[in-house]
Amino acid sequence: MQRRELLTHFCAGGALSLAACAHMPGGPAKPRVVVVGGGYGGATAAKFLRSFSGGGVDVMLVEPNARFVSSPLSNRVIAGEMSLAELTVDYDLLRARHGVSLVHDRVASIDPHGKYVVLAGGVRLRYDKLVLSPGIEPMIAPIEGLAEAHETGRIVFAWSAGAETVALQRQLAGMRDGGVFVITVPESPYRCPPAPYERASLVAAYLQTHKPRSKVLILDANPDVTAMAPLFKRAWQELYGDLIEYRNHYTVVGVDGATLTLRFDVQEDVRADVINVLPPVRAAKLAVDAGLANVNERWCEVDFLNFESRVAADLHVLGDSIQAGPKMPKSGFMANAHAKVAAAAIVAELQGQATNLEPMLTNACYAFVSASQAMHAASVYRFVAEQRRFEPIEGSGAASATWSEREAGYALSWARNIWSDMLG
Amino acid sequence: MFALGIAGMLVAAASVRADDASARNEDRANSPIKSLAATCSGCHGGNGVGAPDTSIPPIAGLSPQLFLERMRAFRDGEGSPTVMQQIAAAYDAEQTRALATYFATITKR
Repeated sequence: MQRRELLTHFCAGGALSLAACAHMPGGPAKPRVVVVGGGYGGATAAKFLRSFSGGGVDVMLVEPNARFVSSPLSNRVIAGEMSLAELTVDYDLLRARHGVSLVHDRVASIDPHGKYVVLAGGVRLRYDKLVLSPGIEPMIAPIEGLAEAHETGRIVFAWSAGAETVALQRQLAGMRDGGVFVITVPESPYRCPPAPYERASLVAAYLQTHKPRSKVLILDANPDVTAMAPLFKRAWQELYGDLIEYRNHYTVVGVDGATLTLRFDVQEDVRADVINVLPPVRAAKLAVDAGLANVNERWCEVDFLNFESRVAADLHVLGDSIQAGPKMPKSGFMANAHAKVAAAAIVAELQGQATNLEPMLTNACYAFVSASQAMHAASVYRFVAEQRRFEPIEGSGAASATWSEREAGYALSWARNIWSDMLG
Repeated sequence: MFALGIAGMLVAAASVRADDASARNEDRANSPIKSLAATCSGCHGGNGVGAPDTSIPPIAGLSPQLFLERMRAFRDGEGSPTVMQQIAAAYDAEQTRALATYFATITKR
């Protein structure tokens, strides 16, 4: 009865596709999975829930943005090598080819006990299973002055591709020759381990060509480069010499947006011409507010066999917001892999099939060291029942021997292929 | 007449068992091979077909012989492989054969 009321309410609101409303009168109701977040994790989950169930599960994807924009490759936009339009893909095929119902709205809250989500517009969506792939939220408050500097646009993060990516590109393009571009790296774990170092490399490549007297200063809260360290350091040395300077153990505690000055816990202040702060991140606010971030109020703990939350039944969390295993990077590719494992397990449960007890994940992170050269780190993971977690399969996990134009071609090809995997 | 009836019933029973088996296994939308194949499509594109004009080759529609030969060469480090040298090491012989058989059945778009 309650379900009928919710559906009626929602259909009357006109926000839902006719296909979903058409199930209402008569016929056995299919189980309904609501997927929140249309990024690498959520879009993949929506597609594979439909395909693994042979269309036997109704899937609603709730995503505020009209189109998908990829954060992987967006460092190339900052360096002026690509446009955001080239990283943008329509959601149309999810609907037309796979029968996913798209709801372009924001989820305001989740009730894991009542098993419904509330949209910003006030509409309730009931679910049998909820898949949350909500991404990350920057932790701004602990860094004094950052909220204000960010609000005014003086300092941007560009953690996720979008307006801030373009804003940072403009700041770089407007910087004087001889200026200093500072990028700060938060303590690990954070989204996409190689991203800050790739960004620094691409900014250096731009400066080398356009403003060769300038400098890139990487101020890292970690003891060392957190991904592909030997490769990045060698690339910086060989390709850019003194143009890039790397300093470890630099933890930002305050910023002044007006004077573009950074303050640290130990070291002297640093002044710059452009400051790109990558603040620490945690699971998206939606997940934190719903009480799902049970690890230090920061990450959501899941059962890796099906990605079900450890604190809420029938609620599965994917992507950057989970408490990952020690060797599982927070990457778009990993979110895509999480989604497939979760989708297969959810369909198995809803359709009374046995759960796959040997799921696998693949991950390859490509990083550009210049406009035309890239390198990678890749791993394949298997589920280890005793520890109930994913471990890299021996022999499968390694970084490239070096960077190359061939790998840059693979990196660009990978992006178009994974978009076809999740949205095509 | 009677004998024919029994034979007909046996055929019917056998076909039900076959249907059950296929429903449980490889033809099922959620079969283990579909999950295994999904570990390839993150790089090779949806169902191994891939986007047009990429430098990562499609694997849909490859003959099983060619698929197996390529995987062997990657594992043995022949040529100058990059990422596949690592990835290939993660799949055992049985999984590799199952993937070869599966992707051979996928039609390229």
